[in-house]
Amino acid sequence: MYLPCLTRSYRQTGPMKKYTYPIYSVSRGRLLGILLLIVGSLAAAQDGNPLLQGLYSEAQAARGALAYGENCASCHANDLRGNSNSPALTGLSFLFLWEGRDLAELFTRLSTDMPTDRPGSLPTDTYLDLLAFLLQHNGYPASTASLDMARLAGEPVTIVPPPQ
Amino acid sequence: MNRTVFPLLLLLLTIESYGQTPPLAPVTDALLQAPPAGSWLHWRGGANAWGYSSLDQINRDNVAQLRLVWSWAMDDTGAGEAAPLVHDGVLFLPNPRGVIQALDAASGDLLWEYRPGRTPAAAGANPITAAELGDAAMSPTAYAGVGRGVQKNIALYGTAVYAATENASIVALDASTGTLLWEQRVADPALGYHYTAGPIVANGVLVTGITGCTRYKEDVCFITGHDPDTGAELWRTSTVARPGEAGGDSWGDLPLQFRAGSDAWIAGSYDPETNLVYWGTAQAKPWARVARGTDGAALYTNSTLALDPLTGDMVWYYQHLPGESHDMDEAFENLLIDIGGRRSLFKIGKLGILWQLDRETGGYIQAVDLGYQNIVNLDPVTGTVRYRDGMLPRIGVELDMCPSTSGFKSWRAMAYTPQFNLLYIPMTLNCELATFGPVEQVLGGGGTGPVRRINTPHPDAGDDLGEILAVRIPGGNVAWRYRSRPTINTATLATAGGLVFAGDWDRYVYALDAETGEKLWQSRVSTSAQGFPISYSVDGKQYIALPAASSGASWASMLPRDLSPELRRPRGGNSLHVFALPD
Repeated sequence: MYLPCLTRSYRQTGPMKKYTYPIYSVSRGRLLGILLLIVGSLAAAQDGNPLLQGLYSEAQAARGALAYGENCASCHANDLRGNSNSPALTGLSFLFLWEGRDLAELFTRLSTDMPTDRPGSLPTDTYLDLLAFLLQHNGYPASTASLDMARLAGEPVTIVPPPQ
Repeated sequence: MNRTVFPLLLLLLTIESYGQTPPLAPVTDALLQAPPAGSWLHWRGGANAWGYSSLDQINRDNVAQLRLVWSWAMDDTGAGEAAPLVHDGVLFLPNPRGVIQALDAASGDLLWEYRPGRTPAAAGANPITAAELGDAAMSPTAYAGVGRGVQKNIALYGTAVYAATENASIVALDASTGTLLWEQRVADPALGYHYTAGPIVANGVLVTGITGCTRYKEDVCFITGHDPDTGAELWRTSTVARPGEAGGDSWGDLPLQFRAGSDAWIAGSYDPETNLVYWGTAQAKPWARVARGTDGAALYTNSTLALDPLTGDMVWYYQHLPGESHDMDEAFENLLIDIGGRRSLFKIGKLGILWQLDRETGGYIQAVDLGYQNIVNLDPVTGTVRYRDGMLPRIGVELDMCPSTSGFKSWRAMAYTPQFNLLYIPMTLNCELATFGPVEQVLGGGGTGPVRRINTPHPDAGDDLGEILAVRIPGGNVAWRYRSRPTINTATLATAGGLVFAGDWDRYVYALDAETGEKLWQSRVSTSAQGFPISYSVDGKQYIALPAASSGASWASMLPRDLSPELRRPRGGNSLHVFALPD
């Protein structure tokens, strides 16, 4: 049984389980295999995960895409795959960094530390839009309701792999 | 008064009153090889890249009297890491996102400004348009972090200013007016290609190294040579050994598209005596061997390359860290120093190992581990570097490594003074708990690879993050250490006045006694000191110009945020601050 990795944020000091990949680097086929394995083994646990039900609105993600272009793309690239010292915010890289962690923690990181040049300088709504865009880009479904601070402050949302 | 002379005189007075400046004297090869003391014609001062000014009007006896003469707010549209140039009393200032200004170096008056897409272009200049860039265009209002839009150095040659752009092109501007003379497309920015290093001039050829080779694509990073009159590309040399070429097997059997990295993101040096261009390359991507899919040396990553400026032929290379695996760049500045008649090249990478090479042959002379890193063992006799037990990254396994992926040394260039045979090396003392992750081995994928990162202080440095290390060459003995809580955030500048100038993240700029490290003068500027300090003179008066900027990713922003959170700075403030002695 695969267990989601309890990763450690860079300021957090809890115990951490080791993340082991059985292979060297990951080809497309192997990646698919890994994701299927993860999804399959977590299917039961994921059924109720709000991320898979939809947590943001399309309009929010569309605004987020514009804000991303203005504030994030010069480092993380237009397609979110990252650049030099800025990690990819999508796909395998995103999951390696964030799987098993609380969505609210991702929001805190985003809204407190980003952009690295001017941390915390954007309006809260813009950070929410950016998170919505990030979720959309990673393949999580939209909802009719917008993601807001009340939802983030509520029941924790564990980041799980997106639906295939 | 004669009726003909009077109107002429009036005309002359009128021209004078509008502050018209005479055309600048052309920057010749002779000038570049022996720059006048009052000029700053290369990004590191002279062709030897010493970051050294032979001016001594400002010296240890009077530096305490330094006063601000003028300052200039720069564009706050991105990361500022400016390396200004000075010629004929004009200061040329690179701003983020391609903006360049010419200022009266004595008064700070603006003479002209070049703004991409806005400044008039000469007929046939063929500027890149946003429509042409399509999806690769950065929004004109976007903020440019360290990823794209940084403009470090520019070059002067003939009557033109040369710059390399965020859109992977090279531009030439009229040095007297700022008019765009031509723009030459070098690579496709949609593939990630862009410039952060500007050109240098070598034997009449513009030489520029590209960056943005983090992700997998059908091509690799390269260095090109261009005709300064037209921008036409004369040669292109890959910084990665291709399959089937000499050294090609150093990447195992990886096809070309999975040979990423080796970005040439810091400008090199040119030695007219050897007629060679020296240029550093970055590490391979992804950073960790285990994610890269090869244990091979991965030529020509993390190497010093010696190129013939007329042909681009690689005359020699020296790979400092074969098969590097922790993001430890050796891409930085190349100082050309003769030691006992031997033409040497000194450089230092993120690991804090100081290298001395024979710059004619590329032969290894000496290396000194400055003693802060815990990743490799260096054999000082041969220069061979081996990874310490357990220090090669494994996917998902945390590594306690010094330095962090930000390095001890980065783009902040060191200076050298022949007065004391000392190098002044700006260091950031830090470590990291790093957990390297995998990448997707598909076109468009790859990248550095994700790293779960916890920044930590260095065990030998107490609360101090910043250090200027004065190292005597050739032996490598430490003469003194200047330590500070804030990170050192500029290149160093050495002057014949027995001084070293630098600045830190906490907005302080200062002068140290070059012999002892004692602080002799200090001031505080608008935001973090950041960029390349220079010195020049106009009409017999010496000036010190210190850039400041509020931007920069891991090297400049993340470490201070995590490790010195009590220090605060404003969100904007890119600027240049010019100091001189009272009249």
